[in-house]
Amino acid sequence: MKKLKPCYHCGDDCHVEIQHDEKVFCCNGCKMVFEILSENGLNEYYSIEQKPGTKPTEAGNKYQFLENEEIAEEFYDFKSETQCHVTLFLPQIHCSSCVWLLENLNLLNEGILKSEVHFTKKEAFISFDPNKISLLGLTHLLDKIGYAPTFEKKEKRSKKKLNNSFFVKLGVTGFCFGNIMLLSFPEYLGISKDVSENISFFMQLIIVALSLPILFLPAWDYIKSGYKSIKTGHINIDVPVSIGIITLYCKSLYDILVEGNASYMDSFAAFIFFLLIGKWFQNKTYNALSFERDYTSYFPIAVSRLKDEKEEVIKINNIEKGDILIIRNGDIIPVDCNLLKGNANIDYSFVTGESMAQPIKKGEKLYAGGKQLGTNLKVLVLEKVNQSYLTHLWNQSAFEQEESGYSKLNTRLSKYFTWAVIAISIIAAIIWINIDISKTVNVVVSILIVACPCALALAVPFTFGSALRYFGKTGFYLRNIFTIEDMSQLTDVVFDKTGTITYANSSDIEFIGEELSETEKKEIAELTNNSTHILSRSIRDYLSVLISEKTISDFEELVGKGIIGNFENGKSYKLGSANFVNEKKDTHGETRVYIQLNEEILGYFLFKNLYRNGVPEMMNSLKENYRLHILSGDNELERENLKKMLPEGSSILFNQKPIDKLNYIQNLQNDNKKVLMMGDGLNDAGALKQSNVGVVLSENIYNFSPASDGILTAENLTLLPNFLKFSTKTIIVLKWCFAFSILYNTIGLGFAITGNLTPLIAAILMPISSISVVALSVFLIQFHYYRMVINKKL
Amino acid sequence: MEILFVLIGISISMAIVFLALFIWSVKSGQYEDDYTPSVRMLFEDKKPKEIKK
Repeated sequence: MKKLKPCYHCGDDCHVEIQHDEKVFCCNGCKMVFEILSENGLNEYYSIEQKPGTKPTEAGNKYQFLENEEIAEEFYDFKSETQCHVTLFLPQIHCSSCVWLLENLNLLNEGILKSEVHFTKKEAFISFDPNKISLLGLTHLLDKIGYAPTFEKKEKRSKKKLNNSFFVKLGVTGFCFGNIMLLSFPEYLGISKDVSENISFFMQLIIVALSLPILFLPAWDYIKSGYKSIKTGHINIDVPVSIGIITLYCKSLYDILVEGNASYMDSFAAFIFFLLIGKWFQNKTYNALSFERDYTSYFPIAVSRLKDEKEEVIKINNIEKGDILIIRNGDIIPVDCNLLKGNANIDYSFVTGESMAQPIKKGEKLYAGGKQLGTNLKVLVLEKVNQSYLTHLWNQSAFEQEESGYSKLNTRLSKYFTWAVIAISIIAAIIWINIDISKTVNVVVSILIVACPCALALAVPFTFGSALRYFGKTGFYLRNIFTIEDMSQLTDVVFDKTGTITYANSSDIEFIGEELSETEKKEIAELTNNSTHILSRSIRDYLSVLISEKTISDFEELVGKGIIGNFENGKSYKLGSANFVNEKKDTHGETRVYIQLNEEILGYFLFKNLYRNGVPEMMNSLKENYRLHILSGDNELERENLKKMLPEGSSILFNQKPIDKLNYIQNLQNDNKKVLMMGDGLNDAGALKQSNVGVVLSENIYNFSPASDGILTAENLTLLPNFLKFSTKTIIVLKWCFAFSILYNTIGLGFAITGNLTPLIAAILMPISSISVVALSVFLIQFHYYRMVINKKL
Repeated sequence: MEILFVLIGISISMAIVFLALFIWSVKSGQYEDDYTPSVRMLFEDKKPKEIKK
């Protein structure tokens, strides 16, 4: 293969070399961005980072909905006569050049007053003058320079704010904890009796004052959650924690205010502080990734409706039964409807996973979620948005499962733990009543204090949290830490075929027929370069020749059929399906693109489904521990190929609709199986949600992907067996940490039962146990990770 | 030893000032984006007038 020059703007290979200003561009779009920027003196864009640009897309009518003021209104943060503020999500932001360009937007258009980029969130805050540029104009401008904004409903974006109040809590707790420890120093050194009584009491009072914010801010959350869990009968880790906190606090208050003694306040503060740190670790997620997208993120926000012969833009929720809509090329059909006019060629890959577009006849039904390729359509709405076939699927119960936010292993342990602590306290109380009644209360309180499972509560977030980080390093992003626990218990692995174990866009191509000459190759490449169809693009990439430009005299693309092109030298090409070139031979159901030159068929390009590299090996190593299943929305053509790849006893099912996939997984679960679902598209969304662990495979992790438990980058698919192995190891580490923390509790109980627990011992034991358990978990996870790296497994 | 009353008072109130500063910095969003400001400060300032003919 020849080496093609990289584009000056975007860095992609140039199949066509467009020369401009001594630079090479791959397409007119890239050249145009360069022109816009250099005209406005923004050439510096290219000097901050090499080839920073992104290809501009064909905007077309995509943003038409912004014309409707009512819809545009939803996106403004602030609006007045002279100034509007918007926060736009620009998924293309990826380097410092992007930041530079976007913050200098005011050089491109006077109407823009200020723009500020938030890199990690990939957002730009822009204020502009609505008299000089509209939101639509601004959007088009951004689109033109390669940063097409994505519009999402507002309520979805505002979730992030909660984080701030957590950090305030953490800060306040840290502050109080530090100061309480400082004021407890005389206690630690044993000199508190040497300073005067007054000062000692004064210091204790300040300690009480400092403990109040901790009690009312973070500690209250634990107590509330513990109370709730007792009420519902599901005892979780918060119950023993709350019991510990409450006794600790009451005992300390009593000691200070009534007895005037040293207290356990420092342990109390340390305890809450460590718990918060654990929570922080637990909630660390991947900001830029979204795991929560549902079908509404895929649907257009607005559509064009035909009313009284006039076209108007309306919100999708306002669509009524009986409306007539206009669907343009590339639009997604928002509701189930009937085709009235136009040549429909619908790509249902969103819904079914079937990769070929289907032609639909007039009067037939179109289902929501299909994408029109070709000319404009007029359609009659049959149902409201929320009643259509697709939304029915999403209203399935699978989407209403709530998550507990607790580790199952931990919850089980907490139950035993709580009862054990209560039992021990009762036994100790009975024994002490017989020995020395005056000390009984003291002993019981000490037991409750020392049994507080701080280290236990920390083991989960730190073990899973650090495992999560290492997964992230290898391109596997999980939504939360508890997914790891589910991953270690799997029995079955279900794969979607199209897009998951096969490539979505690239197919294995072979040319069948007489070999093409260099000129013919060039001409075919030039023709296909003019078309945006997936098959055309694949042929162009397959040919990989440098395209000389502008020798085509006549070009026409017939949607769903093929392309016709005439060259200046009199050659006339037809590329397309067998029907299109009047080939009578049977195609055996294969995907073929025929080449016809001046009425003579040269041959055809055969597209075979291509499996990702290493898939058979992956299947092989998975079969030891898991049963494998493959569900496909496509037809049975590939059965033989798949069979060869899979071990005996695996199931392969074809023609699976989304609801079939969901039911299949449900049936497996009814047989007490734990299922991992690997999918890629919206058509798997139900199954992903229903499965115990649903992982989305994604070529570009920042793209839209359906709601899931994890996102795996496509090139790392074959590491899946190792990811599963690593999660099993993680559980073993966690069990070690549990054993360790219970050991510490037993030592503490030894002191408590014998009546020897003092604030000083508590103050030493508590941090040592917490820190050593955290260190142990982090170290062991790291050890396992690097061992796998050294063995070339991750 | 009575000086300790004053010293403790001073140290706590100073610490409270820093706590207040921390809370303010969290609330004003300074911890939200740790990348953009670091590149923004390296860009040359440009005024629109200089370039437009």
